[in-house]
Amino acid sequence: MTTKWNLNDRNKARVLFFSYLAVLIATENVYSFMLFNSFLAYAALEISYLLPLFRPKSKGEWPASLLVYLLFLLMSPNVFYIVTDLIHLNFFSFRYTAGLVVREWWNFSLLVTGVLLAIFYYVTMVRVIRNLLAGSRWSGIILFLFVILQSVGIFIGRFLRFHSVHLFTEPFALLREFLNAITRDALIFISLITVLQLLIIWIFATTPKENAHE
Amino acid sequence: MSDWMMFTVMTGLSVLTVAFQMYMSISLYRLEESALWALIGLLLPFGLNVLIYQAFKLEPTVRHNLGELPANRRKLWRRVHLLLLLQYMILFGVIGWFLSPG
Repeated sequence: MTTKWNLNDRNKARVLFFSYLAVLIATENVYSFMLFNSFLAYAALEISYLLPLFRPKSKGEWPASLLVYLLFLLMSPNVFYIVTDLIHLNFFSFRYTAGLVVREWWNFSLLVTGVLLAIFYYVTMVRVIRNLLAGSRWSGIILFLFVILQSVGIFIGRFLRFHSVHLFTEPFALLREFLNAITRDALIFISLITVLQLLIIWIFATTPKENAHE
Repeated sequence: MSDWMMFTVMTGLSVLTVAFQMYMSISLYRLEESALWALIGLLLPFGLNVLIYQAFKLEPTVRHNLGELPANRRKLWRRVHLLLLLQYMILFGVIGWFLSPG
């Protein structure tokens, strides 16, 4: 085997993740929570790369494959969740008519960078899933269900304040609280996040086949 | 979590981590016959060794689709990634315990 360092989307995502982490650690900022959130998003992206490897080819491979696919489903909402972290821009008042405050715009840049990275991870992840489903006539429906699951996961994380780790430590409490929290407003939030994801998929996550028509 | 329970979990995690590092070191040495790769396999923890080998060596050879690995390599990398995910799941369990209120 020869060593070939190719900065494709996968390696770009890796380089950007570690660089972003380094900047968050080395500089003064108020968004230290992005360290863990970005790590979870990046972990979900790396697990998505494993999906073709864990596609079962024999009966004996099913248990391990199910475990990895389930883990991916549980972790994947962490990617688009970061987009909702934009609400934390409210840490600053941004009274721009009173003058420019560099500290505000430095933190603004850091948070927006994290969100842009998350959108990049999301698009890359969706491309992996689309490739995995290529050839299946249910691919569109499966992808749509996946998007809705993401929105539900984001709702659980954002409003019920459950973390990915609680899926392992408190699965029943999580399910119970979610069922209690389904209201009209919750459904509106889930719908809005679904539309945002579909918009990003439509704009950015095109397949090579779709691009070939241009 | 009692002290004894915590000690057991942390010991288990440490043993798993050390065993994984040794396994990766031996696997990478067998694959590459290189002391440098063996060292990377041994010293870089929590999957950094796997990540580096994957990015530099593994993915370019299968056109960035791990599903295209030949059968013998496929078995090895399924095992490696499963062990790695197991480490992270235990680690998450421990972190989750600390994050849980009460």
